[in-house]
Amino acid sequence: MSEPDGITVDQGLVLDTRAFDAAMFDLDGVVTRTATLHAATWRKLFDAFLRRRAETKGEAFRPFDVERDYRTYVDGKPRHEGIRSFLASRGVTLPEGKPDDRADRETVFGLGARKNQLFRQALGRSGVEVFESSLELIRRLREAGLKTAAVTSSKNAAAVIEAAGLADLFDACVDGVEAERQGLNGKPAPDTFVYAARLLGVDAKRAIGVEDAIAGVEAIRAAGYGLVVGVDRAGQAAVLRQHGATLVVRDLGELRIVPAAPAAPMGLPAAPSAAAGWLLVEEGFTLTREHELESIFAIGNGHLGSRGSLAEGSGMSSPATFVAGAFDAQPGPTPGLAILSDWAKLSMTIEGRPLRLDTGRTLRHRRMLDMRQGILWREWRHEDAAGRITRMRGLRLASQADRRLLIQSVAVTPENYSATASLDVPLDEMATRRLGDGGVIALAAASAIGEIGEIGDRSAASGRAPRPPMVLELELGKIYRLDRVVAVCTSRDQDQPEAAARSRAGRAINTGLSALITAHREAWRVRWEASDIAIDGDPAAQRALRFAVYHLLSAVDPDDDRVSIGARALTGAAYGGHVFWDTEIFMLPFYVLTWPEAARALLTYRHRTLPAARDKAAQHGERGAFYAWESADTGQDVTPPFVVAPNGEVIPILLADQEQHISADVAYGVWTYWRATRDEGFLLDVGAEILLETARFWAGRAKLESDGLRHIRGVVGPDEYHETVDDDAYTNVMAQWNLETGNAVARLLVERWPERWRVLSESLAMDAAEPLAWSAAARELYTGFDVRTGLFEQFQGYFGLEEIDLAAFEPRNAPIDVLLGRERIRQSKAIKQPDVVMLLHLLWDRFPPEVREANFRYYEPRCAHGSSLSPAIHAAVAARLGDVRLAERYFRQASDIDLGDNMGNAAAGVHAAALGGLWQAAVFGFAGLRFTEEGPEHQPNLPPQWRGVSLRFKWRGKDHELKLPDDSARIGAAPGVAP
Amino acid sequence: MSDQPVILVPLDGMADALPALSVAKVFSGLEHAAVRILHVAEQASAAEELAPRLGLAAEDLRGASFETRSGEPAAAILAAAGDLHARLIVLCTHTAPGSPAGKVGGTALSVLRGASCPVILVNPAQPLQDWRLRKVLLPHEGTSAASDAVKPGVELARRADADLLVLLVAAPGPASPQARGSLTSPFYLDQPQHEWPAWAGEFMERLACICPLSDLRVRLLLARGSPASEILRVAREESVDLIILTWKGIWAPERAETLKAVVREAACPAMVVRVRAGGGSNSPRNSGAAGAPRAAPAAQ
Repeated sequence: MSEPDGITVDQGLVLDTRAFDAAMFDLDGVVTRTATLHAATWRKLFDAFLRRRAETKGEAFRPFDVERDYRTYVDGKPRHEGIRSFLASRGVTLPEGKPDDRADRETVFGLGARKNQLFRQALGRSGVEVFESSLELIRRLREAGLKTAAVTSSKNAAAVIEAAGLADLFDACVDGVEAERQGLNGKPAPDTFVYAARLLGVDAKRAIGVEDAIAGVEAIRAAGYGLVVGVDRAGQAAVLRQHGATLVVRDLGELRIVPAAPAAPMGLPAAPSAAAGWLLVEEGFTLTREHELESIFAIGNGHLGSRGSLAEGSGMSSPATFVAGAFDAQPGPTPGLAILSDWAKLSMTIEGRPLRLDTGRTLRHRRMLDMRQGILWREWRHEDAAGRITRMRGLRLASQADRRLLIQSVAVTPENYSATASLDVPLDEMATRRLGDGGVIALAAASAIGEIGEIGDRSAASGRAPRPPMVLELELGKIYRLDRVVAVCTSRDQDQPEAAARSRAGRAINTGLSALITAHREAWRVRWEASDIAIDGDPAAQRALRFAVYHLLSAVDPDDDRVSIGARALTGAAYGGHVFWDTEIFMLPFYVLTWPEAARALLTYRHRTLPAARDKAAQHGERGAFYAWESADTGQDVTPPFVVAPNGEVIPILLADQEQHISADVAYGVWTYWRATRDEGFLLDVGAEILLETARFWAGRAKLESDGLRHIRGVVGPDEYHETVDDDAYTNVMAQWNLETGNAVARLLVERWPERWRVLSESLAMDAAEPLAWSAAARELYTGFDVRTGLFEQFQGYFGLEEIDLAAFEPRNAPIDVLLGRERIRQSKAIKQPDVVMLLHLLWDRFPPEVREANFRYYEPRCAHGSSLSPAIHAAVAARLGDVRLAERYFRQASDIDLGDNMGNAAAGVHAAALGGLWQAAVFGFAGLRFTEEGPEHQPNLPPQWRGVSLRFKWRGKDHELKLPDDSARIGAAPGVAP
Repeated sequence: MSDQPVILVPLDGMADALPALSVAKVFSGLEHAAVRILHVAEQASAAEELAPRLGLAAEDLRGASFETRSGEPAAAILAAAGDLHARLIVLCTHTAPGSPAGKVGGTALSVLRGASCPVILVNPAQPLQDWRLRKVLLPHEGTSAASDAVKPGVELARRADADLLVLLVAAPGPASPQARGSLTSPFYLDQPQHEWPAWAGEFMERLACICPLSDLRVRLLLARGSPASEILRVAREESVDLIILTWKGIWAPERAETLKAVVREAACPAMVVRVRAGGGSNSPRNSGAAGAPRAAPAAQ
């Protein structure tokens, strides 16, 4: 059989769009997953009817078979035809009734009304799932210039399309309602497909029809379409071919389109990811949300981070670019990350009229964060007051291949005019920022501008663009592109940063953006191959996890161990870039398991800042290392001493002195890395010293008292609602663990690396007896554990505090300490974030199951989640305890912290610790990944809608892959993964 | 017709209606507007007859003009406001003798419901001798629509060189407003020493991008508790001269409780502005529908 026109089969299934003008798609089972919803609704309808009939007639009840009866008699047909067809198969004839029959009438129309009622109820409950590969194909066909339409028998198409957000994918919709209005026969008659072609103004021979139902492919063939594509969702490929399909696929993602859409849409040197689930899209523009979106859409590579601000600016734009570790004096009492010039700023006028979102009319505006490629895309169609329509597309990235480079490309097309345009780029050559400590940051820009064709990428020749403002004579329909590279060099790395930056930018622009972007994409590909976590069955969870992983990957530089990751990473100025326990406890596990080099760098930062930690301990009259609660570049504590709350209250901040658990948290991070990698060089040169010095700190800090126990008084635990408490459980147990581990590492050094022990112990003035004493000190430490109840008392006196029913204050729009006042909360059991529960999460195997359960059940309802760090940890622990429903609730709450659009949380930067916690909830919680000395194991507790989870991780030098659910679960060596 | 803006002051001849005029005169100075006294009666009257009937002294008439209309009072007031393109309507909450203090009477309520311009409600029991606009209290719910609605009031504060107190009240009860771009009290306060300054700056920027605050002395306050109680408390403690209240237009039982309580108990006039659904100058004209960032495939 000859191939139909437009199909060339070489490798895989290829569709040549040059032969077609339009594509029509059935909805249910092709674009939307409503087939399952429909099938379930039909079953509910018919089973109720058949059961009643069987009882009335004294016959056996034979239920509706979703697989056979649905596919054979109902699928693809108009509703009432499906009813008649199925009933006829059972020898049942019902009166037709009238079209306005109520849902309780036993007529064909009555059953139809009931079915519709049931379907809409189900739709409202569960929403609409889509086949992402189908959406992808539709978009690619539209990009190739084809028109598209939905052709469906459903009378609920409008509701389904609306619910699934598909309205912009179809130029027309011919549904059951329209068919009735036009008097069209339903499938398998060709009427609706003929009508659709007419609506779109295309010859049927140049139209593609896509169906999954037998009746559907029959209808398309009968309509004379040039290509009939059958989507085989039910193992009926042969049947679909018999009934008219010329091409049968299991999934539309199998189709390859030729000619490929331009390698660059509208002339850009790259294109957005085509694979499903990798783009975060914002349509339109909401001014007051701009700060949040700038954070969410930030690009970064761990050395540089840049907010996703509009190039031309807006009334709310807050552009900021940061260099990791480059701090400068701020208006407040503590330093913060220096904010660099807006390197991407670019403004354009057309005949003197500015091109801005707040001028003229915006016909379309879309920004897309391409998480897979680490690229921020923008598409914009603008009409000015004179009716000139300009299309602008742009991309922006922070190179993951060369961490000193920022790249921008903007393509402009005058759609319906020719005119003079002016382009102003403030950073045209060089900008220098001098820091208070004498440091210099140089930004050097190199640009190329030119006119390009529709396909292909002709980067302009090397050399700079004319000095701005650049004047261009735009000609109708042509594409003009500006490519820019900005190199950022600092005096920390270069003797002459300005010269270095200029040279680097010049070389880069000569290389051409295509090559630079290719290298960047390859670097991201490698990162995702090692770090992706794929969830099947829960698009929202998949989106949240990929968002988390994207920002974690953007935040870290494995080649720079002088810096760590601030609370908002490099996405916003809030928190000044200060480093907290967030890094070691919330983010580090992700790096340890997927990017150990990055984890090593982060921990080495803590080694570099050990001198400052020793100083702080000494200032507090202790030996060893007392890490800064908030750390910048030097490791000195930069916690602000007070804050004025908006109610006028001056709140002293005691955390620098009292939140001491951070020393144990750093030690925990070190040990986690060592345990996962057995990186001996790290242990000997970096880790051991940290473990020994932090243990030494606790040995002094935990004072032996008259009761024979050691107590740590006057601290703040993770629960910051309660200050100056005695024997915080988290602090004490982590200190206990730190002492034990310090002793263990000392023994390890003595046994395996005696020379290193000798050198280190001499430098620390530590004799062999000291670590031994830590073991005893650990045993003497008061923990607050009551063997009778199995509960830890969070701190001394906690159980005597006021009980507050937090649930009684839901819903609420403020933290509980704002609602009830700090003093009342201080005197209550309400806690800010997990303290004892955090212990369970970190030291799971230290506690028997009944202790884990009892403490979680006790403290969970008393946690007010006043910190973004809280929900994810609760999700992780709940999942591990098997309470999947509760875990899901917390997981969703954690997912919404930055991505929810009505709380403004992300305005000043994404919550990096919450993102790391979310990853932990999925991996350690739902997937149940854990590690013993025998190696990795898993005890999953997946949410019911998670049909599958897969991820890769590294453990002790080997690559592993975990695929769930349990019936195909394996942890095995990951194939073809580069170490 | 003159291009001078008009401030409409309905007077019905009762003594309790008169305080509205002194307040209106202050606003007329700020707005460079003319005060138009409206009397609704069965028959029109000449100004020289009307003044004494309304209890007005000669100095009350300076800078004011009269108009009489017939018909149902609220309808006549609204019609006049429409015809005159009134910038403001200033009227007392009630004028009938023996009315409970602060209760919004039927005419005032009907005017409130139907007005397309801000309405200044004056409680005749308020001590308003030498009333001036020196400090304005702006309770804010955190939505863009509210920011848009309060522009007239904020402009008045600017013209009066008054201090502007923006007040957010954190209370249990409703969850965060669903409108995109809303910002209420921060939901997470990871580290208050960083969160509070960041939140305060963000809140004010969002407000200012819709309702410009340049040339104003602005303070942001966050209170907790019952919104009405906290508004009244702050108004009392700060000795404010005007409270700007946003209103969605529903006056049913158990609705608009904050508005009712403040109007009833405040010691100063209240400017009531309607919040329009979808208001907020938040999006450029005719842009695509905005939605939360969503995962989507893209085409090659």
